[in-house]
Amino acid sequence: MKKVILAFIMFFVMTSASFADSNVYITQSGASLDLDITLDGNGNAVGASNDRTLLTGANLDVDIDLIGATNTITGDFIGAGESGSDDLKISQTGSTNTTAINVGASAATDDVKILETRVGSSGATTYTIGNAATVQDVSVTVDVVGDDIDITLVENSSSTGSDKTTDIDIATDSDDVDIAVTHTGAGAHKTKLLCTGSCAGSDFTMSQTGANSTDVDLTVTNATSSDVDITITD
Amino acid sequence: MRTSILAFIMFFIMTSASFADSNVYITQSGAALDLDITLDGNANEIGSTTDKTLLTGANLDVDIDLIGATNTITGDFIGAGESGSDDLKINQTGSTNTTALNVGASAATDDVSIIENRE
Repeated sequence: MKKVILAFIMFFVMTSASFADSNVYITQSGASLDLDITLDGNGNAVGASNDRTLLTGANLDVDIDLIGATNTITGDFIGAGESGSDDLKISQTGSTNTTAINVGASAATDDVKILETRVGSSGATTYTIGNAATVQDVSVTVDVVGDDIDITLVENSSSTGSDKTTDIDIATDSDDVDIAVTHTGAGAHKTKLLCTGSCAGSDFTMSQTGANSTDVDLTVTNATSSDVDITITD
Repeated sequence: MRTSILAFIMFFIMTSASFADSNVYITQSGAALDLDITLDGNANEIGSTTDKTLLTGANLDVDIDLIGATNTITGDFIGAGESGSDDLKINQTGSTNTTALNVGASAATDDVSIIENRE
């Protein structure tokens, strides 16, 4: 009898878990959109199948808040940002969450500020900035608290004379942080990386190429047995 | 007229040179770090404004390679070296380059081997 009751309870627990999978797809154009998305639960997705988040327009104010585990954000952000404010804010709370955003992949993009805040372990963040389109003044800040942190950022916009800033703040006890930041093209490249807590056994790779000024500011504590590679070429 | 043309050319040369300025600042603690830095270009800096290179820990393996002119390395190295190996390797290729390092300025430092090659 006990087994039957247990099986009955387990059925509802598993059904409840599967119901938590939600998908949000957005294809938008137009200026000054104020978009707020909050998803509370596990296994949710903003975008994908395949990549159906496309935010286009000037002065966008997008706020995406995901609470739970194994959630994903995938998509494209294109437009002219609003001076002095964050155009795209992402907050992920929970473990094994993923962010993969392209900025300015298919059209001109200017003066965009992105702020991602992540609390949780085993997450992965990927930003790809610029492609064939003219992209400039894109600033990405990623603040992460948790273990086993992976962040990959590729800034390859071709514009000249603009600030291309990557700012990563990490607080971790994970002993396994993998950060890869690649800046190419002209423009003033800046990378600031702060890893506090225990950043041991980690890999930090920064490569910046371009004819303009370049800054790399790296602060790492307890970086026992870590590997840091910084390559800058004019 | 020649003076004006020369001044015009000199302006672009000087502007180009100033664009080459790159800065790398590192503040690190922890043993057995493997750090490789390669800077290719002129007037680049590792450390300073002021002195933001601080490498702390035992058995560090630091390799700094600067290629170009008027490059500078400034900072502090603190820790216990690894027996039988170079803990800090500096390679500067180019003219008018500067290296200014403090070793063990603020904490115990032991058995450190530093090698600098300059051409």
